[in-house]
Amino acid sequence: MRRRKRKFSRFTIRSKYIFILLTLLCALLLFFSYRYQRRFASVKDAVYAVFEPAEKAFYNVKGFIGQKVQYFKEKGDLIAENEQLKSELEEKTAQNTVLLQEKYELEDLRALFELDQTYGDYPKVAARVISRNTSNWYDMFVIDKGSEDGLSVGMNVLAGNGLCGIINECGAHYSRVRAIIDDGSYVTGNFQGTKETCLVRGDLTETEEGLLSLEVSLIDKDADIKTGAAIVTSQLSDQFLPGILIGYLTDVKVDASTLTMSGHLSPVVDFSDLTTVLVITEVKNSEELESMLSGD
Amino acid sequence: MIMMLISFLFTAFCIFLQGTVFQSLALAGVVPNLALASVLCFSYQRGHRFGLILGFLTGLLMDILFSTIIGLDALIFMTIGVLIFLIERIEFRNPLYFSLTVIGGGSLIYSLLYYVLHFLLRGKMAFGTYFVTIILPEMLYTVLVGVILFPIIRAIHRWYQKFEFREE
Repeated sequence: MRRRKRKFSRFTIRSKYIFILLTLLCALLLFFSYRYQRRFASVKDAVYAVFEPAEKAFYNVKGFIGQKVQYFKEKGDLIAENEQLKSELEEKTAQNTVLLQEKYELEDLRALFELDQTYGDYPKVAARVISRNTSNWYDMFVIDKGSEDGLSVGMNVLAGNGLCGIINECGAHYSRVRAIIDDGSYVTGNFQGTKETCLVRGDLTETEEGLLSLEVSLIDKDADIKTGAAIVTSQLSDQFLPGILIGYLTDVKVDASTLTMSGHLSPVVDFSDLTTVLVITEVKNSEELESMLSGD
Repeated sequence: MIMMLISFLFTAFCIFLQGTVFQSLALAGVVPNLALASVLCFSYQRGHRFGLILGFLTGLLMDILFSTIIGLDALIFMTIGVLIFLIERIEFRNPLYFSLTVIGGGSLIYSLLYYVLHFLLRGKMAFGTYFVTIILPEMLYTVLVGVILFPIIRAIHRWYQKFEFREE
C-alpha cells in the first residue's frame, strides 16, 4: 500500500488562525443564543423542518429493530419463565378470589376519602416521540408537535399515568421535553396522604442498570412517611400542575443534619421505551411565565 | 468542498442513527458516539484543517438539534477535530488499532470536556460514578463501532481521491 501524501502535516499557522476565529465565533454564539433565545428559534425551526421527516423515519426503524433485539434477548428466558409462571398461576388464582373481595372494599373507601381527584380534567394532546438526545449525559427527547399545534414552553408532559417531563423548548413543529429523570430537573412534590412537601430531583448517578430512580430530599424529619407512599406534584410548584402522580417512595433515611430526610423514588413512567406522550395544554401561571419570557 | 459536503451529510446521518436506531441498541445504558467516530475518521483521512471545520459544523448541528444554548458542542467537536494533527502522520492500516487509539482517545477527551463544561461547572463532583457508568462504556462502545466505521470512511475517501487525481 502506498503511503498517502499529506498537504498539512503540522499544526500550521493558518489552521491556528481558523481555530482561534472559530473559537471566538463559538463564544459569541454561546452568548447570543443565551441572551436572545427567541431570535434563534427561527433558525432552529428551519433546521428542524429539514431534518424532522428523516428523524421520524429513523424512529420508526428504531421500533422495528428494538422488537428484533428484544426477541433474541428474551427467547431463552421466556421458555423458562413460562414454566415458572404456569405453576404460579395456580397459586394466584386462589389468592385472587380473596383479593377481589378486598378490592370492592377498597373502592368504597377511596370514594369515601375522595382520593380520586386525579388529572382527568386537564386538556390533553397526544404527541409522538421522534428523537432522543444523542448524548448519554442528559435525558431529553423531541416530540413531533410544536407551537403551531398549541403547545408552549412550560407545559407538563405525561406518559401512561404519571408525570414524564416538561417542555423546555418549543419550535413551530417540534418541542423538546426535559424528562424528570434528567440531571438538572427539579420538581416540588408532596405525599398523597400526608401532604408533606419534598423536592424530587433527577440525578445521573442514580441511573443504574436500566433501573431509574429519582432522589427525594427535604422531607421534614417528623413526617410520618413509609416506603411505598405515592408522591404527586405539589401545589407549591410554579411549573407543574398539582396532583400528577410522579412515583412511589422506595427508601428513606434521616439526613446528616438530622433536620430533614431524603430518599429515593421510583417513577411510574417507563423511560426506557417512550413512544407516545400526552401533553397537558395548560400552563401553570401562564401569564407570569409569558411576561418573564418576553423580558428579553 | 464536495468532500466536506459528503462527510457532513455522512456525519449528520450518524447523528440520526445515534438519536433513533441506536437508542434501542444501547448497551449498559449508553449509546455509542457515532458522530464523534465519524468526525475523527474523516479528519484523519483529510487532515486537521478539514477536521477543524467538519467538527465545527457537526457540533453546530448537534447544538441546534439537541441543546438550548448554541456553541458548546461546536467548541468540543472542533477541538477534537483539530487535535487530529497529533497523529495524522502515523499510518494506521488496521481499523482496530486506529479505533483503539484514536477513537478511544477522542471519546475520552470528548467525555472529559463534556463533564467539565456541563457538570463540573454545576458543582457535580461525582466523577468516579460518571466515569464508570457513562464515560467508560461509551468509550468501549464507540471503539467497537469505530472499527466498522473506519473502513467505510476510508473507502469513501479513496473513491473521492480518484476524482481528485483525474481533475489534476
